[in-house]
Amino acid sequence: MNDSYEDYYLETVEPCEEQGYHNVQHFLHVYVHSIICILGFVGNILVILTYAFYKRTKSMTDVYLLNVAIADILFVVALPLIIFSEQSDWALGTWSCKLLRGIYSINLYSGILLLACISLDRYLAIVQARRSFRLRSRTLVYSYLICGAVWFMALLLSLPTFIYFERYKPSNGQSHLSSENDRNQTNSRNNADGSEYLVTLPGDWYTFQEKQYVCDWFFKENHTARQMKTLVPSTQVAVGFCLPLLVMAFCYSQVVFTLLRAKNFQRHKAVRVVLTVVLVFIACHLPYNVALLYDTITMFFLKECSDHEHLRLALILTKSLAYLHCCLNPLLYAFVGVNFRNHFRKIVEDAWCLGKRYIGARRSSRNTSEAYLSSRRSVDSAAYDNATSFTM
Amino acid sequence: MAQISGTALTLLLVLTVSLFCQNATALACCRKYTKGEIPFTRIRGYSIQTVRTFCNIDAIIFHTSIGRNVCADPSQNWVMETIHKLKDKVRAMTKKQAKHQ
Repeated sequence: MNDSYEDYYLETVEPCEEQGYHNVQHFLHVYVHSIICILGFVGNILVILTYAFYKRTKSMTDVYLLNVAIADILFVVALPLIIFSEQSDWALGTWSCKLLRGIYSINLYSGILLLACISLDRYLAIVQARRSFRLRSRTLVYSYLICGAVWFMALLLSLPTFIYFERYKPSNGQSHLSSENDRNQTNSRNNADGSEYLVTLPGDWYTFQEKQYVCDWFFKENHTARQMKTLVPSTQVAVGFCLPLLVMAFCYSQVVFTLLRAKNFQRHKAVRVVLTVVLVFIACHLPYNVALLYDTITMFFLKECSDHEHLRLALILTKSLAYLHCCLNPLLYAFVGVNFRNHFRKIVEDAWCLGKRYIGARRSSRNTSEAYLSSRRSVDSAAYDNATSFTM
Repeated sequence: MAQISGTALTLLLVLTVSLFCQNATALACCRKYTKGEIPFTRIRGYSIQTVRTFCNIDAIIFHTSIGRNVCADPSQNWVMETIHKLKDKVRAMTKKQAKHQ
């Protein structure tokens, strides 16, 4: 009976099981992602607290920095919830799947687009200084409008995720039929309407196909599926990486040229900060976007299991690198500024004094520190505010 | 400050504990097709893989008598013929069973 079987058995192609990189994923989740989440949370909450209690959002830069911090904090809150949900079978239902994936996508877009806005703002402040001075000092409304537009655009770009992500069991939509030969070997039984036979087969297929819920794409039509599966990641590469990179490259190169022409003793430090900002952005986001683009181009191609697994590993690793960016933002944008550091120092000192007061220490130290800082603050006048946002 | 570091520590603890409970989610998809034909007698059933969910190619997965799952190209004639034959067979089987009952 099995004579001819081996002939085709050698050529058969089986479904690829994605189980190769559990150790890598486990390591990333436990050590890398948790550290990123904690650092990102602490760093961005400090930025938000500094703005909330000590520093009024005076300039456009302030508004953007605050919005970046909010986007990043939502991102680092959504990330552990996604990891947790993946492991708990998306037990909170399909809305948690849509909501978490959607929020993740919104914050990814808004965070990166706001960084492009910051570069544009600095370009206006430094390169077009004379022309923009009146406009910038007159009103903050523009920056609120731009931030609103960025968040709205991020929401718009994330709509496909909200619409087409569902929680389902992978075996959905598959039909299983038995043939007469096997009636004795399998547990065939009548379907509800008696028209088809469902078979429980031995082997891996059913154990891994019917084990868990997933939160993934779910379409009603093949046409939409192909369209969206290409459109969503390519939009991510175009709008979530290429566009901001082009804006940043243009704005910051102009800024650097202007700074190098200026006769300012701090210009080299400022140039260094600008270069760091751009290089860190490229280092964090370029690898993932290259991998994502390659994945999108080859998405509907036929490929070997091993090729698919390598690409998947590349995506997993580069994605973690991209996550890292959200905890570097507070350092690169907020804490690098002299002004911001001074306000932050005030928070630390006040908190320290508050703690001291609780233990019953003298109040005089608080007064001196406040007097010292208020004198410092008056030195950092509003005119310097934008220029100092990247002076070390 | 003390409150912030307290929150951070709690978060750290919750995160680390929750993330340690790693559970494997394995998704299996056909990435290419078997070239040859599978003899009809070896096939016990089939599943349909569509591009509409997490897999990226359409495929028919034949379940063979030794418990293997074989990826087949739905655009090939023999694949669709096999499916029709299987359906006919099941229909006949159902009728036969209905008569017995």
